[in-house]
Amino acid sequence: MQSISTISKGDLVFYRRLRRNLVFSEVLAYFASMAACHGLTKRQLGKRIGKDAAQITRWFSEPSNLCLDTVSDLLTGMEAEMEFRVVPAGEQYAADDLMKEFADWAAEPTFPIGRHPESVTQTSETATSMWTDLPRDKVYGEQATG
Amino acid sequence: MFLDKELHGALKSPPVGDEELFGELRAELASFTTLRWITPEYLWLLNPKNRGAWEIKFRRIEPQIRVFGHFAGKDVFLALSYNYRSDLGDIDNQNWTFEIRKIEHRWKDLFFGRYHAKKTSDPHELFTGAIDAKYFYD
Repeated sequence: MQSISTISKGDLVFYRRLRRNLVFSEVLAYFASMAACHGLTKRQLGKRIGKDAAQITRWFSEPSNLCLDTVSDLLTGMEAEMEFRVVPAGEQYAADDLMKEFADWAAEPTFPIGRHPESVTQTSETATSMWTDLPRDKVYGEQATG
Repeated sequence: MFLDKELHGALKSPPVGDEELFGELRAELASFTTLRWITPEYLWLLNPKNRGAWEIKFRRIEPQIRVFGHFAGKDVFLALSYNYRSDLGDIDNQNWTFEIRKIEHRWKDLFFGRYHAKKTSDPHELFTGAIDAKYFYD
């Protein structure tokens, strides 16, 4: 019988966080597109789902603050849907390949490891057209740091 | 995403008892390459903005960690230093300036002045998929 190895705790939390971040950023991006195109505010979104704006702010501030029920409520409030599909893990999720020690890479440079524009390709035509309408200037970076 | 040797070592061989913390931090940094969208909650340009020092905010209940680095070019980030948020103090604390100086020194050690970090306050020149903060104001 084939032996089964136990996945380390570090790797388990790695994938938990990676997927949580993924869902979080998609929800925030959709909210931003709704805000840009339809003027949706956190207050309005909160009212739609029976929460105050402060609660929406908390949910939008940290991926760990979102549970599946919360994600569902936010999507419902934005009249949005998330595409779910379980597929075999691809190379893009190979933990050690996403980051590289610079010195190692510099000794034998192969390709830059960065955000690949092709991985940012929209899968939804609607989202694409909404996204291109977003003004891309001015306010990124004007909050207090920390 | 490139990592400084010290940070890379900490992620590869986390301190005993901190495996979960550094596993999550590894994911936070890897998210730079996997996420389609980057929000200011994730990546932040420190003051003074003309020094091109960016902070990746690893927020969790506790302890929180901040990772600091420069952009070598569009979509290519070098993470050069990290520190616990609790050790950095208030935003006016000089520890923040110290972190900026630290990554500037590490950059010089890597490139000997032959290559300069890309410095601009426009995130769209530095990374794909930047989301403006204004949509999250009340």
